[in-house]
Amino acid sequence: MSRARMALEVARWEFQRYFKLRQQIVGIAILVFTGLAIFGLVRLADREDPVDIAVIGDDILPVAQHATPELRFSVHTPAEQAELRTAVNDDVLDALLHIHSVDRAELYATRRGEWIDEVRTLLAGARQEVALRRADMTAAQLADVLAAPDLVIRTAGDETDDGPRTGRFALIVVLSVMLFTVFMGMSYIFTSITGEKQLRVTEQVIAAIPAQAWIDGKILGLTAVSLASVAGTFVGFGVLMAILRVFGGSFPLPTADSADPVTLLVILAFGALGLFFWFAFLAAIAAMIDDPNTSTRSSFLFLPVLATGVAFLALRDPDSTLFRILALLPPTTPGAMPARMLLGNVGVLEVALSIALLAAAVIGLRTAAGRVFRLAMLMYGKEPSWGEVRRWIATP
Amino acid sequence: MSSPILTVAGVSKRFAAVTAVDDVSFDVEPGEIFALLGPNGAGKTTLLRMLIGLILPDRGTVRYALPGGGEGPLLPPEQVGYLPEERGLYQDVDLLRTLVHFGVLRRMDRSDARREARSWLDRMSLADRANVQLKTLSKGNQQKVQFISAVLHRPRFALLDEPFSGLDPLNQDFFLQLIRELRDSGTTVVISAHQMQLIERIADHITVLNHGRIVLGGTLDDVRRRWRTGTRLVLRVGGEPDVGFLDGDGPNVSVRLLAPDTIELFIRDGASVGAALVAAGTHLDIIEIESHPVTLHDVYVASVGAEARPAAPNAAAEGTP
Repeated sequence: MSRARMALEVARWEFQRYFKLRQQIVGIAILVFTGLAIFGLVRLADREDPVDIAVIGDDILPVAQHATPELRFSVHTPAEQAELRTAVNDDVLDALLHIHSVDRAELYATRRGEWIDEVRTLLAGARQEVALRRADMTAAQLADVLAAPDLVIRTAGDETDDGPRTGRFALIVVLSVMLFTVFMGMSYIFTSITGEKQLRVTEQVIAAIPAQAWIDGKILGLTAVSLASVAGTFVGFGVLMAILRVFGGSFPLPTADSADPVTLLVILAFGALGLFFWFAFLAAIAAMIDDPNTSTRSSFLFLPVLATGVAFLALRDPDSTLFRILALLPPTTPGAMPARMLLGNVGVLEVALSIALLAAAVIGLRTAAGRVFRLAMLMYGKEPSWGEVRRWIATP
Repeated sequence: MSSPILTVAGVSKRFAAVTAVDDVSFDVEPGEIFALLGPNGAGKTTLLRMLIGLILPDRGTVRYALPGGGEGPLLPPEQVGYLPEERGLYQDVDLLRTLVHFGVLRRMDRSDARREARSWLDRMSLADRANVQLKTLSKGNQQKVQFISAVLHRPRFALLDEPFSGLDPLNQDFFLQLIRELRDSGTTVVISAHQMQLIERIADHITVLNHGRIVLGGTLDDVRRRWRTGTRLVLRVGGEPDVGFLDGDGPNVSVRLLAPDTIELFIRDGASVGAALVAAGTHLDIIEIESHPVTLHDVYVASVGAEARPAAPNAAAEGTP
């Protein structure tokens, strides 16, 4: 049996041990149910208490035609003023808007709120419209004057219309998926390895297969579990969005417009190498931990999250010197280089160098982690000193 | 005699200030049951871990030579079965899956591993529990599963570290039978244990370790022959016995207080039984004298020294046939 087949057997074992289809389905169901509940509550809140406003003088400044879900207008004559005030006092109406002239209006209301700003905006728009009509303009001229300008947003270094916005959205999605996967993998690796140490399974396994095959299999298997869990969560979101769309919800969806297929593949390669890099690191750290409840080395487990999360800084300036360096340093490359590719100006050579450095680091870290893993997994009752770890790494 | 399947030569291992194994040498012949005995901390487990390759010796060599080919410091994993002292299997996985996994790790085909696992579970009266999680089993049954995982792949060489610990007497007998069957099917077995009364029922060869060194070794017949020529007397005495009365006789006679009113005299071959009795009669108020044959337990206790002696007041009864 080759070392690769042993690693695959371990990967299969880890996947079957930790990936529970039933739990995934339950998790998706909970996600969908929670999403629907939140959507329902928001809808309910939105529907609550639209502001009922009686308008006197709508012929002077026409606002009633601009009713919104939050503002509901009814048009009245000045003769009804007293009756309407009483209605407001009795809380039957929320407000009475009395328009005296194009320059003066009075709002009598039971309560203040953001809706008053909306009323003010409507009045300003109506006043502008009336003023333009008085200028004796045709309907077409009027529509042209009132139309919003066609705003095209461009930034330096990005000739694609609206590119940065889409790129930012894509970056946030990519980094969020990476962070989520790292978090999931971190918990699985930590649980799996410290658990095996505490269950004393290690001697039985290390006596049967090389430690390197074991750690390789673990990393492969638990990466697959993490990705499957993340995929499950995305499926949950997809189901939720599909259901919500039926009920009239609308949501922005990530599109691949901002990145061509090659860029996406390269980003995926960075993501995969990043996962292997950090999971090898986590496996070695977890193997050193004797008691997960008390070990100070548990704090190292957050390094991957920090290193990946730092890529969010690219939203400010992806082409800064600092970010160019971060994109070449293997620990931060998996987040930083995709960020530069999506938001900044990056050359092919820079990408190639970055991926080559990361791949070399993965190979080196995998070997070092295997050596630490082999000895640390058999150490019970104490944790190895950093000096011992250095010696293990240096010894083939 | 065939050439040894395992040769351990001058092996030592030190951990910080402790010498766990100190210049140990022995040979293991193919198809025998070789027992490593010794009290807790004698170095048995460290030695076994070196034999399986989990740790490397600081000095000395471990060399395997399988009959029909294959030689080196380690045997191929599919040829070795290992039952570690630190028991541990996946508690949250069902028995059959666990056993198949370990079989595959030992290079079995999955279908063979599944067939063998079912057969072993049946043998251990666990067939109806094949699909339950390990954690639902009793400690003794978990031990059975651990044993299966060590021998499922029919190894040619098996290292069993404390295989009897945690077993009730019936299951101890059952395990003795299983180990004999392993040996009879051609597997060479190295056992580490401290239950001499069990080991003497199956071992072909024993080596007693104490403080990392070999203090006694040989085939079971050799050891019995060597020690049987001595005489063991158990004296029931009155008053407060003074056990220092034979201090001058050196290694030929040893005295041990078994209980406040019971003393053991061990007189080696060639020493005068009469002189020892006269000395005892002079210093002690002897009420009763019993003669007991020397058992391997006596040999073990005598060889490892005072720290391994049982403290139970009825220890004299252990030697009674």
